[in-house]
Amino acid sequence: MSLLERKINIWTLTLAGLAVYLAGRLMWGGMIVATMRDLVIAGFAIVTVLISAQAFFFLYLILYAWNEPDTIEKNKSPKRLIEPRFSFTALLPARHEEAVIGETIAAIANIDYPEEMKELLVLVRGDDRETLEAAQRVMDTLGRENIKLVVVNDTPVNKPNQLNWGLYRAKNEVVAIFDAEDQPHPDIYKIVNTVMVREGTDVVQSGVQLVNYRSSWFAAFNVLEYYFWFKSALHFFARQGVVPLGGNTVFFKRVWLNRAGGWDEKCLTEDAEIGIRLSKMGARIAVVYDEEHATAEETPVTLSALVRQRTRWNMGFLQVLGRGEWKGLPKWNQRILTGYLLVLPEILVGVLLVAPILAWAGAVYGLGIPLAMFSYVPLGLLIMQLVVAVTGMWQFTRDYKLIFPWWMGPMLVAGFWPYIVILAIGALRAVWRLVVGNLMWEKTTHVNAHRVDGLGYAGVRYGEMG
Amino acid sequence: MGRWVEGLIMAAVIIGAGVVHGHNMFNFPYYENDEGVYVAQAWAAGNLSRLSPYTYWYDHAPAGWLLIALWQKISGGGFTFGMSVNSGRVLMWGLHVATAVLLYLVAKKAAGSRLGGVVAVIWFSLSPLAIYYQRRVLLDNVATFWVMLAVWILTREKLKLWTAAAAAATFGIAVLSKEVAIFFVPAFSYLVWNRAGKNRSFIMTVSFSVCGLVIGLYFLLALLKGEFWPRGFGGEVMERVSMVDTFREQMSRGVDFPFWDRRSLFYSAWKTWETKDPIWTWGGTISLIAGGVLAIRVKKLRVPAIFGWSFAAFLLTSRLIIDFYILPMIPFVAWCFGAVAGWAGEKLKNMTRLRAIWVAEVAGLSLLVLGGQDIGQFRRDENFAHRQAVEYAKANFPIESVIVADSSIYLDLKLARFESDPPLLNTHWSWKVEKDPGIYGKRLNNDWRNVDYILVSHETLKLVRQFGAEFIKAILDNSVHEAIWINGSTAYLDRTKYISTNGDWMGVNRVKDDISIVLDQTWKDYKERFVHDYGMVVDPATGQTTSEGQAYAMLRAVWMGDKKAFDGVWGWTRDHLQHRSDDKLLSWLWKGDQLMDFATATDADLDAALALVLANKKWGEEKYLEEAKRIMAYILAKEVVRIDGRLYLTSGSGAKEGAGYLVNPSYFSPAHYRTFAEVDPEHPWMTLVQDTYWLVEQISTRTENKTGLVPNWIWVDEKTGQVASAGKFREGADDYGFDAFRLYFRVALDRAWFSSEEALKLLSEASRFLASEWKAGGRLAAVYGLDGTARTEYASLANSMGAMAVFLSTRPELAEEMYEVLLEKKELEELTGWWGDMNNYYDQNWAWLGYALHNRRLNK
Repeated sequence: MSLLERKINIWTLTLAGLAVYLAGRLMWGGMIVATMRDLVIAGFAIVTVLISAQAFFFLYLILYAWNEPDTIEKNKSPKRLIEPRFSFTALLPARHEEAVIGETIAAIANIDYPEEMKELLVLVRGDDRETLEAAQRVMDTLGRENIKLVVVNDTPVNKPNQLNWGLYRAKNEVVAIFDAEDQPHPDIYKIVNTVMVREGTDVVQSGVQLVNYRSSWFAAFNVLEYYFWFKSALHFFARQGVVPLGGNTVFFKRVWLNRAGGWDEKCLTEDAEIGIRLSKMGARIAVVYDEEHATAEETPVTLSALVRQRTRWNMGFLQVLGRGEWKGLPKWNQRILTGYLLVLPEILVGVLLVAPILAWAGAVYGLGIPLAMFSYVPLGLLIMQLVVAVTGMWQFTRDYKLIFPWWMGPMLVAGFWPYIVILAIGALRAVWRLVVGNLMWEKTTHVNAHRVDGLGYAGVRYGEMG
Repeated sequence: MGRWVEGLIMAAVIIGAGVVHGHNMFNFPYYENDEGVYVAQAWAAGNLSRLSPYTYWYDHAPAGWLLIALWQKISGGGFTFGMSVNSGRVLMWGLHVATAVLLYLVAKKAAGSRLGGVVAVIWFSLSPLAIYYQRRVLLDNVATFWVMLAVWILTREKLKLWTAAAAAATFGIAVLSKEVAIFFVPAFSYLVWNRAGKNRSFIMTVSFSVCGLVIGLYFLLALLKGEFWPRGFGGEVMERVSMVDTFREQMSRGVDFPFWDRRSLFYSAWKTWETKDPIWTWGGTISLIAGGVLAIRVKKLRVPAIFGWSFAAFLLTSRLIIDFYILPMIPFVAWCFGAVAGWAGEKLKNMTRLRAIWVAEVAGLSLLVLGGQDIGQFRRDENFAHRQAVEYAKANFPIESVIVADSSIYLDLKLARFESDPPLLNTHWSWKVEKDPGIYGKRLNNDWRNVDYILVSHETLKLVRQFGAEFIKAILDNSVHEAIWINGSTAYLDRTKYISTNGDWMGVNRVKDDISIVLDQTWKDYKERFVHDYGMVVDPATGQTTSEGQAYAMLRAVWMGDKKAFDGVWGWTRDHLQHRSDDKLLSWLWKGDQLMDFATATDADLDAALALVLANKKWGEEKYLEEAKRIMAYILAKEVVRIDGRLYLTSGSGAKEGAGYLVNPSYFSPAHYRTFAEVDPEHPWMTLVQDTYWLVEQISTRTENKTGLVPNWIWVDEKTGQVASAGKFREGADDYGFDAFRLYFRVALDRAWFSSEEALKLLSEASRFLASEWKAGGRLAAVYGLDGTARTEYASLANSMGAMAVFLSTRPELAEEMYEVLLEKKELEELTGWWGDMNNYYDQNWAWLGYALHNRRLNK
């Protein structure tokens, strides 16, 4: 369904709401004509209810894991690992990663699993000489037969394309995705093996955690996003049978990937997209999160990198939304939740844009004290989110045995709003680009290919969760 | 088996608490003012969409009465159970039963035994102290329920985050129901901490923020209404309420004494509790102390002890303690007692049976001892008077009457309780009448005379005595008793001192009308300024005391119903002026400390005798009549002479001048004679009436008299009765002036009291000249010659009263005009206590008499 059609749907809903309101008034007050003030008040009340519901649901999501004391334990990695049963092929797509690729290859190679049951495919483009050389160097040093370099020269030049080539070459039963800067835990295959055997799951998403929470003000929030997502919210979605997969530390049974026809090379967030398709096909997806085994990552270094990253994700989500695969999910709650997740950033923008208009309308038309008080409910919930964020950071530092510096609390309070604005900008940019038709994957690639970020976290690199 | 036992105990708790609290709950205890306030505010919330029928000023957060409002809606309006407060009491009853069930569950769980829970409930429900306060519609009862509910939610099972959030919200509602619940925060935090387990950080965070946000609604309300900041904040000048100001005022209430000081409010509250239930008060305190000490070692005592002590700390340190502040303590003290008793039982190690017997004994004893106390909770009807007063008001007050009443019966008076019930819309709370500028200022115009009725009660008197309510005091002081319901009251009542010790009575007072108030005020003022010693009237201009002045004061006192003043003035008169050797008449002049002249003045003797007759009629004491008769007899014997078959009233013992008598026509008073004739029919008083009118006719129709008025003095020949000028004996004798006008007042009295035709004729004759003078100049000269010329430039207030008396029955429109110009306007507006020159003895007396005559307030 196109964006335009979706808009029509929104309008239909709004008009239906108004009709219901007018009918109610007609029956209640015997008045046929609603004044402008009535309309404003009705609109105000409806929007406030929606915003409150959204804010409450968000709060519910980020606190989901902590509602019951035992939830956290249940989500952790299995304590006793069983004998290896499944064989693994790790796919490591890389582009301009000469600085880190070596260590990553070594780390994957060192995963504690029988050599004959694992395989590593390093996927590099032929024109990326530096990365090729760096990879080759390490492979020579390691001298393992089960590590292979796959040179890709196909188009489009993007991660799904590389992954598809990797899949084509993969021999083992389970395909694992890693990013070039990942440091997977040595036990990760055993854990995934155990989960897949015990619970019969087809796909396992393991935790990814950003850990550089002190490197910048927005890094702290970015870290919190990952923390709340992987430790809490994702488990709620998993329980509902909706798991938007991340870009790495994901493990697929190869048969399922083949059945799905691999990754969608035209999608900006191919990881999320394939997750939806697999769910639709009936694949069983599990989530495992354990501080000990989470894959450590780092947040974008600059604010603009962060915004670009978000823009790409959001564009990807909207793409997925537009394709409508999600509407084929078997259960209605899965469809609603997936739809909700895909437009969540835009909802945020909507709220930020609508709030001042509401405040203005409220001031102009005079709402009466009860409704005015009600309109503060979203603000209250937002304050709670802030307080929970601070507690979350404290809990994060405890979980990872890190220091909680004294300035962290005040900084989170000060940075809360700016960070929301940053997220909104990301969402707005995505919408804008989609609207003006700037859908060209190549162009983005091209632009970013010329950027040299200190650590190289430009949109083109694959190290971001989708 | 276990289920059955549990079910039976639960049923016993519900039925027990329900019966003990429900039986006689509409009759005991008496409706307290706060109850009416909350019920009325609930009504305002449900029907006017406002938080109070008056300006809401953040005295309390509104959640409590919003709940009552909801209840009123559900239960079919405010009068489903009779009086409006009853409806609230039914809700309180429900809350009590619910709280008892919650307490049972919580205490049972903490103690690990059912009996622990049962003992707690007994201590919670059965004490007369608890019943007394828990039956009342108090916000503390609502808050206690919510606190208990929060505790129950927290202790139910493994604590989940959202369950904790629900408990926190519940606790927030408790604080919004009555702010004192905030003092449970330490205990509440401890409980959450204790129960949170692994997810402590998030559970604490969420609990605190949820609770904070719920409580924050109260502040948000004030901010949105623009009533948060102190008055004058940011240079704003508007008059409005302010939350900050109210908080400040509330903080400054009470007294600064440590709790053990007899003057502290805690101490007096303690005494009240002790009176209501010494066993609970002492037993509870001991268990609280024991629980506190033991809790250091014994874990299961900690929660009740911490809850109990959190609130006890507030009670012990707060400046302001009202007796019902004990309410939130009651369940926790009860819990504490149950827990300590249970713990003591446990010390009987391994002897399960003994342990059970011990706790059962504690329970049984508590049941007997606590329940055995009687403060009237099951039989007394303390609200009979309230119901009667409402019915009386509805039946008798005009619908537009302005009524001041306790808030406890406010709704019952103000609203139509059923279809044909008249709504007395102008009913106001006594407290608001005293304190709310919107009421005493805007509605009542700062004038208590705009009130018609006040329903007098324990609360009204308390308002005056304890809170120094001036406005209410003025209303009480200027109102007259109409009805009272006091049968069976246990109160010690002294309304003159505003003392009442219980609220089980009520009365109705009617505020005096404006005229009574003016008469009252001026009489009071006159007494202060002119009456010295125990009853000596002194004219400040001369320093003299005259029998005339004494007699005027006696008349005024009896007409005012002021027995004390009457006895004082008459006593003084008797002691100092009634010393003539051969009669009992009054010597006329006294100055300083000695009698200046033994001679009598007939008018004073007449007036004094009349005052005594009226006093006898009014107060029924025979001695007054005896004394009156004695004087009357001597008047006839010594001051009345018979000439040529007619009776003449002479001017007194010194009237004899040459071959005749001095006569002062202004002493003539047919009204007096007729009154005397009624009590003394053997003497020729009626003849004197006839002869007086005949004589006045003679005087006023003499050819040289162009006015039809009488002169100040005349001389009567002792042989022929021939009337002549008294000019050579008295200065100004031939003019109409400071003496003469009084005749017309006295004749007007005869017209008013006895509808006398002769009086009307006489007044009509005087009317012509006076009317033309008044109409020509809008004023009258103090003195006129009988040829019609004005002898003075100035006017006299006293003398004008003669003309007003004339006009009253001849030219009423002129009387009204004079009345308004001279008497009414000024005095009504200012209520100063005097007319004209405040030190003019003559003016003050005659203006008062004129005012009273005009308003028909001189009763025979």
